[in-house]
Amino acid sequence: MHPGDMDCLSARAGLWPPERPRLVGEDQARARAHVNRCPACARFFAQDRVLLDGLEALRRERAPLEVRERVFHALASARSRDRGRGPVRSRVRVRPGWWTAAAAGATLALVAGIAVTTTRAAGPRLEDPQGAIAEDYIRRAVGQDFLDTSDPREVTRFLQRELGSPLTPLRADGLVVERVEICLLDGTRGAMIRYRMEGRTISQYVVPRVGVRARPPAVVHQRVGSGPQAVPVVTWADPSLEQALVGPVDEVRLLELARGRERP
Amino acid sequence: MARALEEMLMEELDVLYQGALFLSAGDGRRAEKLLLDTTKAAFRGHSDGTLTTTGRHPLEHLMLGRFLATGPWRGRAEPRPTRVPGERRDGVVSPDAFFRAAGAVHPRARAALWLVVVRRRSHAEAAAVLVTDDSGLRELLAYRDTFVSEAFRGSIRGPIQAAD
Repeated sequence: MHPGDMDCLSARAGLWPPERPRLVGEDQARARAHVNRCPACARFFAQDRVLLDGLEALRRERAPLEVRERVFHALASARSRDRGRGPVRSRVRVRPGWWTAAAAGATLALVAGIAVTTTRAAGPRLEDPQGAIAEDYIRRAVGQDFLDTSDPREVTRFLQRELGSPLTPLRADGLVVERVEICLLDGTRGAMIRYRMEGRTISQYVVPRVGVRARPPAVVHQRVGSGPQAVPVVTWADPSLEQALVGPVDEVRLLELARGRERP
Repeated sequence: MARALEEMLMEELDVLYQGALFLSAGDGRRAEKLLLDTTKAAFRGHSDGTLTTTGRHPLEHLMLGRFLATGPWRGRAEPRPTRVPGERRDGVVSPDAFFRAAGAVHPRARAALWLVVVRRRSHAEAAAVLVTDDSGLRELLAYRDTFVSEAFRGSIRGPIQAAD
């Protein structure tokens, strides 16, 4: 070791990480001088360069979709349980109003239907429909898939790709598809198709299931929260799908729309 | 300005996942458990104002803290690093090989190697996150040799040759 030379550990620490640009001060100059003379330190940094390609591949690993869902579900559950204990600092806000109640009603109806017809162990259940909405909102905030389109064929392709279910959107005079997006209902990945009819928004929720008992469309009056209002929701099922339809239209009309659906 | 927890999670989730796998030596189930534990701790910290929302990587630092504080290794003496002679030190190391190799070293060393070798943090930054000093960090980084040997052993692609 030369007089005034740095030791190996100090030299390596002073030049770490080697790929990062740095201003060369006295310590860095001494460290560089040491490395230039020290075979062991030169091998250390050469070996580190060999690792870089593998580390780059490691840093490209993405959290799988199901892990993302469970993480955000855990956060949504924590928020639900914490409700009423004081302000929660978050940008997630459930806007009050008819639409929120309607979506909550559809979620409850679907969840109730799933509980009766499936034996599959689902994830933690949310007791609070507003919590289910918050969960769905967060699920979309993850940056998951949606498609703005008025073409029913694109909706079918989207659902085939995302859910494995080639469902054709509802068809009726004056009913126009606007959007389809992935949503999370009681921990299960499903989809919501949004329609426009006579200036009003109608939503169809779809959740793939296995071994569901088929049942025809029927109206369920879903009470939300502690208020008197009951939201009419039409639900139905076939052996592979649970579905629900909700919107600010007469329940008889909702039933007609559900019954008038066409399958591929 | 305080950030929403969802925003922080979205930014850091991939890194958290990578880190959880590394700290769990590639065990996906344990990694997810660590992730969920970190998420819940982040929610509690965010709600009561104890979680830092500014600066770099607050959730990653929280996860490291949770890992070191809640594992079964609390209070155990750290074993001395083993010398691995004659190992091949080239070839492409896969992410899985890195994760498995992390299991060859003590958990505190694992955390140090994650910060320094994988995340490329400076020694000063890593020491601050691990709440140790420079000499303490050097002791942990002494396990680097063992870790690198195991990583290459997991992804070796060439003839064995003597190392120094």
